[in-house]
Amino acid sequence: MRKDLSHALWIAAGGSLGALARHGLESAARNAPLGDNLLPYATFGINVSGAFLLGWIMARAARSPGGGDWLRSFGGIGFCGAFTTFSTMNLEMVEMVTHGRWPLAVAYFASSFLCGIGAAWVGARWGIQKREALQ
Amino acid sequence: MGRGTLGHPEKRGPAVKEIFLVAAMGSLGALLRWHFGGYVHSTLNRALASKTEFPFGTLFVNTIGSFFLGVTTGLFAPESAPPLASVALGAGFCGSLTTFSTLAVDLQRFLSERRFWMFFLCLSVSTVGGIAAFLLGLAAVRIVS
Repeated sequence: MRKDLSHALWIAAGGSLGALARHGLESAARNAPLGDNLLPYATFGINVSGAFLLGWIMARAARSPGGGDWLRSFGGIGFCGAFTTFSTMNLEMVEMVTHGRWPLAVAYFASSFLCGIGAAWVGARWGIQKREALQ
Repeated sequence: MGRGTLGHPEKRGPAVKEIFLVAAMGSLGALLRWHFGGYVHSTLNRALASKTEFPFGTLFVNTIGSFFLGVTTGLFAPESAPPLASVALGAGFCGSLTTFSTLAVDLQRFLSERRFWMFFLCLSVSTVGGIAAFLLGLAAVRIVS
């Protein structure tokens, strides 16, 4: 029970930080001189960097002696989970299609997953190496 | 939340209320994702006795969250300055409830384990389900209002 509570508190803390970071970056991109109204580069960058970070965290947590509970709940489920978003990506793709920009929607979809999966892989490799170099 | 509504020019500067709401709704979204995602994940994988561990939990929260974002988008007109409720629900709650990083890590694992069928299934069901749920949320608002 106590373990569950601390787990939940770490997730809540990471989740609020992740949501704030995402909202801040999205707002900044919208107000930037080169606004991201055509290309949603803020969401793209957030999702790819979050995938990298989660790949790294999962690799580190799996190899950490204590099981990496804190890292997993605060950094993984909380921060990375809340920082990255799937719903906004869908909204953006639907908006591209309704504006007749089909190729852009397909390119956005494909590049998000290609880069996201690639970033998760690089993050995981890096997390493993870091851990083994320390031992 | 969505395009065209966030960071409206009239809404510059850090509003304390906005920061508080996004943080609170963001932590609520993360907690619900953990709770219901975990529940759906373990229940369905146990029921199916699957050895493959399909990420049902992530699929569930992503689909539900996309539906909620569709409802939120339908409720608040994109041209008006975004009211706090829309930012709290869209950027805070839906953004935090849904996740891309877990999906990317799961897809990467399927690829490295050479489970290409699972990879394809997970990617296509997530995408089709997410977009359909978003459109359904938009349509639901139009029908009700």
